[in-house]
Amino acid sequence: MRLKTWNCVLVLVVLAAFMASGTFCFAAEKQPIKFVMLTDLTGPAHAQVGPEGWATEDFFKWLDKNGGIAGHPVEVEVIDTKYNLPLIRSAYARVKRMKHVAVSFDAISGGIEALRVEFAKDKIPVMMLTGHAPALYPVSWVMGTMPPYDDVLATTADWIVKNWKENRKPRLALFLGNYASGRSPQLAKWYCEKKGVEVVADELCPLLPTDTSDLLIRIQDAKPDFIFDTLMPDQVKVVLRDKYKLGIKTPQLNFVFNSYLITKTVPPEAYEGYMGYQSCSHWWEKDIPGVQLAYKLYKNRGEVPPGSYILAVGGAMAWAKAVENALKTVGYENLDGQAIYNGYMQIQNYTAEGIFKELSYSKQDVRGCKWLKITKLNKDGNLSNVTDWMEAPWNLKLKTEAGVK
Amino acid sequence: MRRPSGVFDVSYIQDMTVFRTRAQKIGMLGFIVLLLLFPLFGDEYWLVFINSLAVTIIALQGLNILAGYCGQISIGHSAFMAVGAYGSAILAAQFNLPFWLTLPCGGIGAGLVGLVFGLPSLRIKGFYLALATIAAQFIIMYIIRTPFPDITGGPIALHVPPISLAGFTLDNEIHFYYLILGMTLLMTFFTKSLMRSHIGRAFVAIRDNDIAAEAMGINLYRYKLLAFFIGCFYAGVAGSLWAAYTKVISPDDFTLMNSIWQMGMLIVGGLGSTLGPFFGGLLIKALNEICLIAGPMIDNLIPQIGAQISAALVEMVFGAVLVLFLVYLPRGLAHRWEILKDSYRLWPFSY
Repeated sequence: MRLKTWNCVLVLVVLAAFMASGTFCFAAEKQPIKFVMLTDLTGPAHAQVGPEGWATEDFFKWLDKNGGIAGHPVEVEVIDTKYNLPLIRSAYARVKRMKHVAVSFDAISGGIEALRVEFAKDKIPVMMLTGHAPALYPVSWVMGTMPPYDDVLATTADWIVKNWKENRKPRLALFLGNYASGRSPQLAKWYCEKKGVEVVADELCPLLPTDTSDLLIRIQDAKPDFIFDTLMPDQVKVVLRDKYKLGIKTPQLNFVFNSYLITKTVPPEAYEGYMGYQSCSHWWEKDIPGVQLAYKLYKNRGEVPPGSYILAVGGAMAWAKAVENALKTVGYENLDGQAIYNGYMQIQNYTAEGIFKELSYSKQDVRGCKWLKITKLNKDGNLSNVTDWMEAPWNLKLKTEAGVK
Repeated sequence: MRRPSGVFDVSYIQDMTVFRTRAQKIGMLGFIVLLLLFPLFGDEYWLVFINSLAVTIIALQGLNILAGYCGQISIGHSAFMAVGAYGSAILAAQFNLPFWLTLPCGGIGAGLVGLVFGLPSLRIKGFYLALATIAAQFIIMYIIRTPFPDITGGPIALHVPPISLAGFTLDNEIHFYYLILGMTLLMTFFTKSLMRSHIGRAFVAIRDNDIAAEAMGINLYRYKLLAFFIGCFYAGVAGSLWAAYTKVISPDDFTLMNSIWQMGMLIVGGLGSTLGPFFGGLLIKALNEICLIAGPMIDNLIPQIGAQISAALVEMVFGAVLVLFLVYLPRGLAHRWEILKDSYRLWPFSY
């Protein structure tokens, strides 16, 4: 008798747990949509891409609390791939089995380039928050949100040539971060040469440096007029410190440009005059609704959201928009990769509440946002515009058309 | 190795057999059949995991020959993998050589490069040799990245053409599973055979006491360099397979951290044992996969923590597990496995 009683209790408990889990629902609730992001939350690139994971997590949790997408609840999963290609491959193999899921990939480690062909074969569109050029051209199923790093170098060449007043060729040094995307501006060296900008030095900065004096001295010896860098925060703080220590005053432009973090980790005299590219609105443009949303989402983590956080909020909004477009077209049951891809193609002139100047996708161009502007850090920690928004040339496409190998 | 009760060896051939009893032979055969049939019921995620693990095991077998059996510490093994990977990729892309040629060429190329960097082993050992192999890691990756970017892709990725064997193009996980599995079994067989030969005995003698080995007539110069060649050959083969499998290789695939992790896997698995690479590779890779899955699960269970802290917590547990393994199993999992087998045979200790 006691055994039978316990058996009944056990069955009831299991049944209750099963029903409470939501697997067995009597009410007609809308099913959730899952957003999965694969990024480097830990590892050598975490300072730059960690905030992108936070932004994705915060935005979709906020979106879920505020009605989800077309009434469907939203779930978010951020997977840490630790800058490790085998882990990226196995994480993707696991994620692609899931139904009703949208995928985003961080591009810092270059894993996205290795898997680009897989995305097209599996018909899974992947949102790429950072800009890794080989993933975006030839055009496939990777959707960018900002110009890739090599396009930024090409923009730099255009900007230098436009403002150059001397009779000789301008001299540019490349000081690139030693990670896949960081090295990709090498693909635009031909563009610089074509525009008449002489690339006089090309140094790679390790991911977690302790001293970069030797690299800076070699750059200085080449006598550049400008330095273009793709350094991440852990690299920038060392480089700017060493640059100040060595008395090097060559104007330097950074693409990653985590400007607020720089003001917190580098002395003002070292970061004064440091320029950087913005592909979206940043922390100092507080009148923009998208930036205000980023501040609101970030408030449990800190005072001021980093640039990559704001970019990721904008990217997440575009990501959600693509899924929303897909839901409107095919409905929840037919929500698959092809539908989400078509959803991306419907995004035209989207600003993500002012975060981007303009974000558009087409079958011929999946870079998303093609606009950049240069800003400069002042000694008081504020930023000022150096240029207005400039359209970035598409380096890889131009290179292919020019027949350059 | 302890024999099961009642099993006696009456000839040298019986004494030297690896699988002595019928049960052992059937067990190994059954295991291989299971591996061959696995794609029929395993899904793609497990195929990806096993493919990556198997390539790592090949590299670890090479490192085991070098460091485990011959005692020559190498913390540049990943760079030798890069030599194999880039070598075979360039031969395939630039000269259109078939895979069955580029694979051994990649291995031999890596072996020859390993010979060059093995020269310091004739004069230095231990930590000093480890530093010399770290230098190999940096030098090789610098050569790949910088002087010949048009050939190697430079710091950007190099795309590898699809491979085909006997007119059959390998283009999915199952195809590569059989290729990589076959190579892993072959290389493991070679390792076992090598270690049972006079060369293997010479390696072990050098590891245990190189001065005594030399006094016994073992040519240190020859055998140390041979160990480097063979170890790096294995790394080159692993690199070639990896290049063919991923179809895109870049310097980020062969970093110093990868070399250190390979040494770590071997230590955890058990130096000086053919099974050590299997255990060590499987443990570390499985822990990594568990971290991938556990982080989001913890984040779902306790949303207040957030994804990054969940990921960091999982990393801490990963490190703690490694430390515990090293504290309680300093001789590696392979040694523990041998103890387990012996205990099983002796139980219930009726003697």
